[in-house]
Amino acid sequence: MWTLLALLALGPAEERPAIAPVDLDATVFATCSAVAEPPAYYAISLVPTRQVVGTGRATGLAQMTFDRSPFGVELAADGSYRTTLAVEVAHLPSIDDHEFVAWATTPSIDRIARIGTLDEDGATTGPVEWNKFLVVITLEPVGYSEETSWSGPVILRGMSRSGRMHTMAGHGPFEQLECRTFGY
Amino acid sequence: MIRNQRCRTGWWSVLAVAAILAAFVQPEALSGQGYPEWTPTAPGSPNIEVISHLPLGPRLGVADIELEQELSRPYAYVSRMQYGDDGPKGMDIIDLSDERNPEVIYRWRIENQELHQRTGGMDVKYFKMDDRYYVVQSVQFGQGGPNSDMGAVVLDVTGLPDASTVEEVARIYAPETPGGFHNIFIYKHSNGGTYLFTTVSGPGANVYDLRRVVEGDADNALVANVPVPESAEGTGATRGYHDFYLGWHPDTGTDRFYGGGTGGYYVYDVTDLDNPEILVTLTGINGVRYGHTFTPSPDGRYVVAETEYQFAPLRIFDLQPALDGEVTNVSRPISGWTADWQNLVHNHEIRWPYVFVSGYLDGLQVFTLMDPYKPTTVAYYQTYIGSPNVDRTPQFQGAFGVDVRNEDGLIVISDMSTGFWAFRMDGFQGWDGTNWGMPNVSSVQDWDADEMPSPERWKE
Repeated sequence: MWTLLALLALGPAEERPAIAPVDLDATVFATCSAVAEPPAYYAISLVPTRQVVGTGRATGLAQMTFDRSPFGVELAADGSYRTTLAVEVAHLPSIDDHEFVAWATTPSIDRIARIGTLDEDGATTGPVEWNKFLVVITLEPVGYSEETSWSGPVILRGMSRSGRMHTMAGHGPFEQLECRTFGY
Repeated sequence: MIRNQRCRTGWWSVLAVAAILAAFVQPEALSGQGYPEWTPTAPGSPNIEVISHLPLGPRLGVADIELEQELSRPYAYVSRMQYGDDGPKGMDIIDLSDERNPEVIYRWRIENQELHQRTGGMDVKYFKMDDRYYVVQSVQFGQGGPNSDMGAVVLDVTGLPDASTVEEVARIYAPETPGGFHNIFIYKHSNGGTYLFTTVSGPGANVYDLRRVVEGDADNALVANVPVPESAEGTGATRGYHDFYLGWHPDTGTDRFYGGGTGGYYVYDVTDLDNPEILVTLTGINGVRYGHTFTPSPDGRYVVAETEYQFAPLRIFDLQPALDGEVTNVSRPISGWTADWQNLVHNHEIRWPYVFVSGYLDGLQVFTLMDPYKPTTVAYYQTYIGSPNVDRTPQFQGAFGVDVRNEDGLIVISDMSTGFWAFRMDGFQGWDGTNWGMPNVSSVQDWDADEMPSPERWKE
């Protein structure tokens, strides 16, 4: 016992690591929360539908940022991720008495959420609470304030990264058929 | 899978076809021009008359075609798909009352079509029931968007040409096998029922009772399934049909199913829909891993078999040894035919001895099986004058679907890029199998007949 205590006492105090004060903001959030920058992996390319003359050159990107919470990624009441969608569209024409509106909708289009009207820079931001969804940019009359669905033509569309995941229904376990198995 | 297979096995396919020709087919038995005989200024053979041409929209925006058979109902149905960058997803109804001036009188489109994934309308067939006329449009929508479990839509078209009377009466869903129906066939069965046979992304063909569908019970209309036999090319769930044909077989008084899919081609007796009985397999064929369109002669003896890759000819098989019980599997074609060996020919309709082909890059092609060992080209018209695709599978361009009106011999083509075409061929003024010593059996159904054709009707 005395030998052990002596050895401990002789140990070089300067080699012991100092214990720094805990900074919750710097450590817990940095390691457990999603980053604030939108991950490039989840960026959604917006493709023009060319349904309206003059919109075929439009290009766009919708960037997803996972919302933060004290417990990490923030979830909606149903367990879906809460994200903020930042939409930016370029090369859209100016059409009299009309404006462009961004929407998100589930793949089956049974639920629709208005993201917002594109500003003069072609940008808008809004929340989305679904794992799989489509992004839709439509042309609407100025002042169209309907929150539940669009009325005008679809100008651009995009699919969330998770929307690309397919069920294996119809196939056995570990037996995958490519989408275009049946050719044309 | 097949699409990629085509891309990566082009030269393998050449070797396989060469092997067939060298080893199994008599040297004189492969027909076809070898080189296209058409030119941009002379696109057709002299015996083909262009009745009309109606462009329908963007390139690669058209799929299959169906022509109603009664002269009093001159309507063609054209599937609309988006295989290229643009195009609608649905079906067009074309009025041929003035066949030299056809007119699109109705367009069915899936709602929110821009948000639907994949191609959209693929195959289309019509049927008649209780004096009403219906069209079934098959659809394929991918996952990630709406209706990936939808297989077909059924429209009541009895009131044509008044387009305002067209009414959607049902949608058929197959949620267990997402991806829709690529091909369909409607067959009037000897049991009196009218059935829709569909491809699905699973190891068999679904069979739907169309009476239940039109009477509002589509959810319970799935009544049978015709399996794809296991083969070296597919076991378990990794099997499927690509296309099929059903026909009455007068010699045996049975309903027969001819399906092309994983491993090759299969002939079933489907007289008892609850117990489909395999009769003949065509597997182990050199150069065939996956069968496509598969159509018998009216008597069921010869079959024309397509595969879907560049350089593939149509193969002609004689099923007699199997029908006689001498063998159960047939693997050697007796002959082959193609329009241009560098290309690929697609769907076909048999009106014995003629075979009407939608030949993709080679347009409409017609050959005769008068001597099944020497199929011979008798007519052609190039509906697509252009190059193979550079942005899609190269050979999937040009004439996609073909149909023939038996009453008067009108021939129609749906070209993926140039749209609707109508033709007449010299000396072909209609078709009745009995005039050729054959049963009057083709893809055309006799909706008003009370009984199926008997052997006596065509052997007199």
